[in-house]
This record gives sequence, C-alpha cells and structure tokens, in this order.
Amino acid sequence: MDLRNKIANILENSVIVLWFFVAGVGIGIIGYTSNISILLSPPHYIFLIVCFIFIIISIIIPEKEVLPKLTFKRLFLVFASFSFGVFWYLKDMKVYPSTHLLTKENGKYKFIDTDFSQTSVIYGTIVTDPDIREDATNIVIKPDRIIPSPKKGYTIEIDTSTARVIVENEFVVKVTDGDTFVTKSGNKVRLMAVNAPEIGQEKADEATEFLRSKILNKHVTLIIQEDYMFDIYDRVLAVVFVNNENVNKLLLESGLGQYYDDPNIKIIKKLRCYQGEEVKIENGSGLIRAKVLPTIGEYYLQMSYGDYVKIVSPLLLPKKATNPAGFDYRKYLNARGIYAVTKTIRDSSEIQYIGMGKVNFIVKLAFILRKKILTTIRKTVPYPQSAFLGGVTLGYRGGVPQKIREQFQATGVAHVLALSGLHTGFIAALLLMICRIFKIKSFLRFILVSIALTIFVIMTGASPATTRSALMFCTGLFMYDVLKLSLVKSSRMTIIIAACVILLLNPSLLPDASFVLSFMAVWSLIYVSPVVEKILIYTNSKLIHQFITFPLFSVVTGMTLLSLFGGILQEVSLVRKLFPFLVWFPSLDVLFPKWFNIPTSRWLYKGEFFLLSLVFYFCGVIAHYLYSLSGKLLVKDMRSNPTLRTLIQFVCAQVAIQLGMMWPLSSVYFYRFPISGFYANFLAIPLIGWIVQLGWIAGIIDLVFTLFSSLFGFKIINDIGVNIALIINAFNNQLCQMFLGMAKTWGNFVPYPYVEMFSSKSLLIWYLILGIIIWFDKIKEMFIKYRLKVVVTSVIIFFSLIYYFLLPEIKKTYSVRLIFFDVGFGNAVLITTPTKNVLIDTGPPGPPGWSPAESAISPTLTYYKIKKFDSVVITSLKPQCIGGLPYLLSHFRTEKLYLPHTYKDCTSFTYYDFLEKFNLWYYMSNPYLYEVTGLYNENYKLSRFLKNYRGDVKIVSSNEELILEEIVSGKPLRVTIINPGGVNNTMDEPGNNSFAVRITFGQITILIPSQVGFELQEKFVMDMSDKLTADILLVPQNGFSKSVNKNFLYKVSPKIAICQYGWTNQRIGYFFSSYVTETANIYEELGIKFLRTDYVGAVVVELNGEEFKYTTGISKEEYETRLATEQENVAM
Amino acid sequence: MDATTKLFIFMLLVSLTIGGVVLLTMPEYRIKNIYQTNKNYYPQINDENVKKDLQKLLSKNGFTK
Repeated sequence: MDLRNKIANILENSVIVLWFFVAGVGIGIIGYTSNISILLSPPHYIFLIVCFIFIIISIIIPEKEVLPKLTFKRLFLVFASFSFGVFWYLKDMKVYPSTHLLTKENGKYKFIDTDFSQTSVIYGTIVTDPDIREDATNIVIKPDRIIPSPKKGYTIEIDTSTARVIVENEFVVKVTDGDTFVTKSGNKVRLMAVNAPEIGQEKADEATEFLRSKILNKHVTLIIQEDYMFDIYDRVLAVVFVNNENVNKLLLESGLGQYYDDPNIKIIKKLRCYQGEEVKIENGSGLIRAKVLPTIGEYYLQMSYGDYVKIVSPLLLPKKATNPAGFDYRKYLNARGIYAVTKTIRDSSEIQYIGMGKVNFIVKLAFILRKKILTTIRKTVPYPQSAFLGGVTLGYRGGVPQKIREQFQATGVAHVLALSGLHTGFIAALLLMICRIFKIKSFLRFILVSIALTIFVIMTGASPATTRSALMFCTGLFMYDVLKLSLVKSSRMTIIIAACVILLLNPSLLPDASFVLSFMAVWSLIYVSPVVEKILIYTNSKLIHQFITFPLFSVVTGMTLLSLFGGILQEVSLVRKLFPFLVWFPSLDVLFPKWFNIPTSRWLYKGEFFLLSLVFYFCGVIAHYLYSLSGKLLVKDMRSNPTLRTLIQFVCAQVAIQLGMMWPLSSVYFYRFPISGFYANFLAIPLIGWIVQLGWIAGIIDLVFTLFSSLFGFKIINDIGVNIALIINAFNNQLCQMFLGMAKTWGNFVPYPYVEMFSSKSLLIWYLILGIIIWFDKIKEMFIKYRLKVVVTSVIIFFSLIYYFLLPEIKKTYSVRLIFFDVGFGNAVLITTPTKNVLIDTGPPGPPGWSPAESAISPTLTYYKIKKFDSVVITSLKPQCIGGLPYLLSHFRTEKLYLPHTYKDCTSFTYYDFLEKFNLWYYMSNPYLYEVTGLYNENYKLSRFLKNYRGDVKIVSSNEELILEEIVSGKPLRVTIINPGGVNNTMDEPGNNSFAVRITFGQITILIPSQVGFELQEKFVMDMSDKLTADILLVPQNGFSKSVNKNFLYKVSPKIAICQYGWTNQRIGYFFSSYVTETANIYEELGIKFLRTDYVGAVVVELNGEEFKYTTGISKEEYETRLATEQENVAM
Repeated sequence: MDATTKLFIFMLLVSLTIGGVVLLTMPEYRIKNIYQTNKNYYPQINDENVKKDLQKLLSKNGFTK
C-alpha cells in the first residue's frame, strides 16, 4: 500500500472518531449552559483522564468487529474522542476566559472574568481591517497594556513656535529640591511650569530623589523662553531634556509634581492626561471591540489595520441577552475572541493614533489589495450596485442600504450579503478554472489554490464562515485531487475534518449561527440531498412523480419565470433600454392585487403568493398527466437530459437544505422563515456565482495593469486596465441590478412570517428522524445482520438521557406567566395562560431591525410558541407604549385591540392641531421638545396604520373593562382595565388620561399602571382605592421620580416593584437614570423590592394562584456586580 | 480545450460583449459619472489612500527609503 492509500485509509477510518469529538464539544456546551449539569460537575480534566484511559484500552484490547467497520479498538477511540471533545470545551470555558478581563481585587490588579466598567486607558493594535458602516466604524484591538481606573491629571507639551527660545547645554552638579538644580556653570535652574513639594512637605524627598535619578551628574539641554528667562528668585526657568526625555513632563506624569499656571509661559501647552499604575498584558488577552464615530475628526478616515492606538474609555462586558430568546451579543463576540467592549468613541481625546504597531506584512498587504479592488468597484459600478458588489466580493457590508438589507432577509438570500462558504466556493471554482487553463498538475494546483484561498480569507476579514469553507475546499481538494478519493468520500471527510480543526482552534464557535448554518447547509447537500433525489427523482413511483416531483419543479420554475418578467427584468437598465416594451409588462403586484392581504391573518397574509403557487402546482400535475398519456414518464425523460437533470437536482438540493437547515434552524437563529428562499435561490445561486467571479476578475485586471503602470511608468497602461474593468463591470452591474430586483420583487411578494421556535428537544427529534431516513439502509442491514438488541437499546437510552436530563425545555408547570420585557425606555408586558395571550403595551419605537418590538418582543413570542394575541391593550398614547404596535399587529394575528379614550385619528392634523386637540397647552410655549414631537410622530404613525387596519378595535371609556376571564388550574384569572377617568389640564395630559390593568389570579394580584401620571394616581386613590392593593406593581412612568405618588404607593403596597427603564436613541422624551435611582430609594425605604429592567433584564413572573416566583434575564451575581460598579461611579 | 476553459472564455466573452453594448447604448455609464454616485460610499478608500498605505507598509519593512 503506497503512502497515498495509507493516508486515505487512516482518514477514512477516523471519520466516526472525529464526529464524536464534535459531539463531545456539543455535549460540553449543553451541559455547561443547562441548569442540570450533573454529568459535568466533575472538573474538566476528569474528561481528559477518561480520554487517556479509553485510548490505553483501545491499544490493549484485540481487534473484534462489533458493528460494520467498527471494532472494539475503534469503539474505545470513539469514546476517547468524545471525552476529549467535552474536555476541550470545558477547558476553554473554565480556563481560557479567566485570562481575558482585568479588574481590581484587594488593591491589586488581576485578570478575572467579571465586570469592569470604570474608565481605562488602553494601548493596543488594531488587528482587523476596520469594519466601516454608514454611521460608525468598528475596530478590534489587541491590548498590550492597560491603565485601569486612572486618575485625571495634566501633562505638558513644548511648543517653540509661540516664542523665541534659547537652547543651552549644561552639566548638573547638584539637585537642591524636586524642581531646582545647579549646573556646573553656576546657574540655578528651576523647572518651568512644574511645582514639586517644598522640603518638609509630603513627597518632597521622593520628588528630589526622582530629579536626582534623572539628571544628577548628567548633561542636560535647557530650553529657555527668551522673554521670560528668570523667576522672581533669579533662577533660570527652563524645560529640561535629558536623553531626549522631557524632565518637566516626567515629573508631572509621575504625580510628584503639579502643574502651575503662569500667564508669562508661552512655550508650554497644558494637556489633560490619565495617570496610574500600568498593567502590561504579557501573555495575551481577549480582544476589545470599539465603535468609533466620525466625530473623532481626521483620524476617522485614516484608521487601518496595524495602527497602534490609545483609547480612553470604560471597558465593559458585552451585553448579554436580557429577554427570553433575545440575541446574546456577549456569546457572539466571545466566539470571535472579543471579551470586552468600549463605550462609543465620539471625541478625538478618546482615541489617539500613536504609531504603527506590530503588523503582519502579508495580512496588511491583503487588506491593501482589498481596498484597491474596492476602488475599482467604486470607479466602475454605480451606487447602490457598488455597495452590493463590494459586499459580496470583499465583505464590505457597510454601504448596503438598510432597505436592501431588509429585502434580502425577507427573500431568504441574506446569506449572499455575508461572505460565506458560497462565495469561497465561487472563488475556489474560479481558481480551479484558471489552474485548468494553465494545465497545472494536481499537487501544485492544491498548493496554489490553498495559498490563494488563504489570502482571500485574510482579505475578507477571516470570518468563521469563510475560514471554514476555505479549510473545507483545501481539505477537499487534497482528498480529491491529491489522494484521488471519490467526490462523495472526499466531501464526507472534509466536512468533519474542517469542523474539527475549527473547533480545536475555538470550541465556543460550535453554537454560533455562522458555524452551524454553514455546516448544516453543507451537511444537507452531502447527506440529505442524495436521499431527496432518491425519493423524488430516482424512485419508480409514478404517484410521487405526478404529485410531488414534477409539480414542485413546475412551481419553482413557474414562479421564477413569472418573477423575472413581473419585476426582475424591469430593474435591469440595459433591458429597459433595449426592450422598453417590457416596462409595460405589469409587475406581480399589479397582476395579482393583494386579494388576501388581511393584516390580521397570519397565513393568508400575502395570500396571492399561495394562490399562484397552487396554480403552478396543478399545472405541473396536469402536465405530467398529459405527458404520461403518450406512454412516457416525464421525470424519467428529464433524468436523461443533462440540463433538465441539473435543474431538477437543484430543486432537490433546495428541498434538502430546507429540511436539513432552514426549517429547523432559521426559527432558532432568526425566529422567522423566509419562504421565498426556496424559490429565490433558484435564480440567486447561479447569478451570485457570476457576480462574484466577474467582480474579482475585473478587480484583478485593474490591479495587474496598475502594477505594470507603476513599474514602467506609463499611465496609459493604467487607463487600459480601468477600462477593461469598466466593460466587465458594466455587464456585472446589469447582473447586480437583476439580483437587487429579484430581492425587491420576492421581498414584496412572498411572506416572511414569524414561526414557532424549535426547542432543543424538537431539534433532537427532527435530526433523529432525518438521520434514520438518511441511514435507513444501514440501520436495516444492522438489524438483519447483527440483531444488535443491546446496541439499539443503549442508543435509545443514550438519547433518552440527553432528551430528559440535558436538554433545556420550557417548563410547563406554570399556570399563568407574565413577562415584563426589557424594551429599554418603554413598557411591554405579556400575559400568557395555557390558552390565551394578552399583550399590554408594545414598547417604544426603534430603528428598523432593532426596534424592541422586533428584537425583544417577537423573538420571545416565537420562543414561547405564541401565534396570536387574544388582546392587545394600549394603556397610554405615549411613544413608550405604542412604538411597536404597527410592527406587532402586522406580524401577529390580534383578536382585539384596546385603546385609551383620548385616541384620535391625527393623519389630517397639523402639528399645532395636534397640540390643541390633545390639550397639550403646557407645550405650546416650547413645542419642539422631544417629548412632544415624539408623541406627535408616534401618534401619526399609529393613526396611519390603524386607518388600514381591519381588526377589531375598542376605545376604552368605561371605568372597568374585562379583557380576559378564565379558570386556570381550578383558579379564577381576571384581567381588567381599571380607569377612573382622565384628569385634564395637567402638565402630563397623555399620562393623566391613560389607565391601568389589574390582573388577579387566585390570591395574587398584579397592577400595571404603565404611564399613569401623578394626578391620575391621586384619582385612583380617591375613586378606586379598593382595587389598588397588589403583590406586584409595574412602576408608573418608567420610574420617573417626579411622578412618584406616595399615597398611591401606600394603597398598592406591593412586595415587588418592576421598573421598565433603559436607554433609547429615539427622540421621545428620555430622562436620566438618576431619576430612577431616586425612585428606587423611595420604594426601598418602604421595604419594596425594586427591580429595574436595565439592571436585571426582563422579569418573568410565574403564578400558580397561591404564590409567585420570578426569574430575571441577568443573573443575580452579574446584577450585583453591575450595581456595585454603578454605585462606585456615582461616588466618584 | 476542455469544458472548464470553454466556460471561462464564454464567461469573459459574454461579459465583454454585453459590457460593450452597455457602454455603447448608455453614454451616462462612464467612470466620471459612476465615481460621483459613489462619493458617499467608502470615501476614505481611494487610490491616494491605498497608495499611501502601501508606501507606509513598504517603508516600514525596509523595501523603500
């Protein structure tokens, strides 16, 4: 057996062992993150010991086959690999992060994993190409020294341009005190602008010693201001330099000297600086991410990889998910090696370029090439297609307009915008094509393609997806081209080898969306697609061909063609120019008006899409039937035609990807399912292939010509290169227009619904079933050949154990659950019972994609499998309560909407009409406060939305309105609106004309007076005091201290008060945190536990009718650390 | 000539032909106009800055004075 076969054999045999390593890492993660981590309670190194024991056993015991191709030896290796996987993850969790953050403990600085939110001075190098976005740039820094909690002080800088100076060289013979010395020539010299303590004062001796150590018996250079040479004691005033070091400055920065102001001094500039103990980070640390705004000035446009910078900012832990199922930013960054973030850098004093740091020549060169190719795109492709092309070829995502990004998400082709395996695949294909043209032999081809792909990965920022796919392509090429294995074998081996290499480098990446989605996509193509093909194409069942295969093909191709003529081609400028009649072809929206577009309906939303799909489906069934009348089988004939076979195989691959990745995992990571992805990819994949390859070809041609031009000095060569690139990109621009047109057409036409999230258990069952279908033949063979009852039983037990003990699941033991969301500066409370859901208020407004309704409330609804609201109650017309209403009502079915009696349709109001009609007299004299402009904006948006809303709307005017009444677990639950009527002519009309919601379940009562103002609270006390007592109270008006009414509070006398407060970037009348701290003090003085959502995250309260318990989004430990640092900052 | 080479040449020919048609039929599709539309799209990435970056890197590594 030659070496090649030996390597192939070893790799082939180790596939199962490697899969178990991945499984081990997975179990490590589940165990570490789940509450029930009994199996993982021993220290992590125990798993290493177990691993070694298994390896030793596998060496000792004889070869004996227990399963097909599985001997006892390999079985023990499998277990060893599994144990090592668990160890590897736990080691990473328990050892590695503890070296990532710096904090102070018992007066000493120590690296531990905890919060760190005081100002620090960070020195470090920018280690990635800055991620430039529309409004800010994100940089990642590798710190090499940090000054934690520095003191503010001053430093000086010499500026000789402001006055004439005399330069003298002297020799120091005596130091008299901390700021005075005598030279050999007999001059008595006094340090300019610095005062050291006088003899007898504290630190005087230290200052004198400091000066001695620096200048005594040394040659010094004195810089003397010509028009201010002596002080009143006739001492020479000078700035002293020794070995190019400014002694005045050193004394000041050491803290032993103090700056003194003297109007006569012109050559010294005073600057603020930070002083403190510097900690060198010698063994490396986690990276730090900083968001920099253009307001920092000139340096903003010059930031680049390798810059050594100084940043002054608090070092903060990245934000954890604070709402159930919310996005965990900390995990996301940790998986990328980033363990701390700074506050947003806005001012030039907060970031300073010091020089060029440690730079890897190749990496820097790769980034420069990246920029060069972007300049080609900027010159040859107009905006916004340039932004799209820059994103898909080079990973410059910053310039892609928000609208286009949303359309891409809705169309299910958002993966195209982020550089992924797909793009790497196209680049690899392009490289292979070039190698073939030049007839480069297999081994050299492997080496060249690997180098080129590595450069591509570095250039595009080395994201997990591109790294993974480059690794896969290189491994695959090695297997296929060098080891000469079959394509199927190579691909099956490469997927697992690449996974193992990435997890060995960073096991935390396993649950990361980018890693999981890209691997599962490839896994689906390799494992699921052949099975789907077997069932749909290569089956002999006429029924499957007649009712599934061909109709599916018919739907996909029919919809694609229709979208081409009904929207996509019209977007292509060349088509518009050459075939203007196409513009008159009606778009899909015109052809198929939204007959079924009922906003309250979840599945019939955009119903014309379903109708059209059905039409094409039946066309497919009929076509197949008619074809079969001639005695031939359509699908069988399609199989023999290479083009049609490719098309139908592509449909099967799409089905496989939907089954293996999109359907189960898009709900987990995105909470929504892009239905059009199935259709859009039919056009998107081939289109993006050409776009990426042509983009690179044009860029490289321009680059090569530029190089020749600089070498030979002929500008014309450069011009030729740019013009060739222009011609290629003129065509590529048409393709980009087509792609953007496709996203627009599909995005508008096809639904993008929220779906119920797959729980861990459902995922396990889904993939178990999929696994059984994929390996059905093998499993069958095992049953027949081995009758392995023991093995089967142990497999069942193994999965049952995981199912019942390790996988977290939403507990079903509760009766009623209330979720007080962390929506920042706003209110939103969800009440769920086993059968009903009521939402009280919808949170504040926010930017598209990041509004609390979209990023906090909707994911939670999918997590709890909530499909519709029985009622949505808006307690106040303030933006804090209505901001998310249009979004939520557009995406979730709602039976009934309750609004306060002050609601008016203000679509036809001018701004002053609005002020008048809402009786906002208080703001008349100062009408442009954010508080009131925000009120107008949000009410206008709400009115515009409700104008076309066809659901049931009720305006609440009665004193008491029953929203929900049912018996849950044998106890009565009542949700009622209590409304004593508004109080008019106050300074807070919207607040004093709102109402409260009261929930009683058994013996527990909860009161939700979201925005009830001070005067209305008084009215509640007067008119409805019997309905106020409650166990839990939502603090009115987001905890604004001026609205605290003690009479009201005494009447309610809650055990717990929950305050929904947080930051907002919306102009809606935000107030500072100190007001909430005041309120918290008042509540705590009365013995009420005060929970702020900006500290503890969302609060989930579970009731059983007799008692309640609550959990918070942020753990108690972290909350206390945060509180401690907050108090420390206040004290400072 | 194998299929891969043919595909590559086909791709280049198609792009050059249709690109040429675009330039012939659309006089507004010129570098100057296109550059204008991109003036707010990564303005910091331009030929001059790329050249500066390259020079800085080369001088740091001792390739130029």
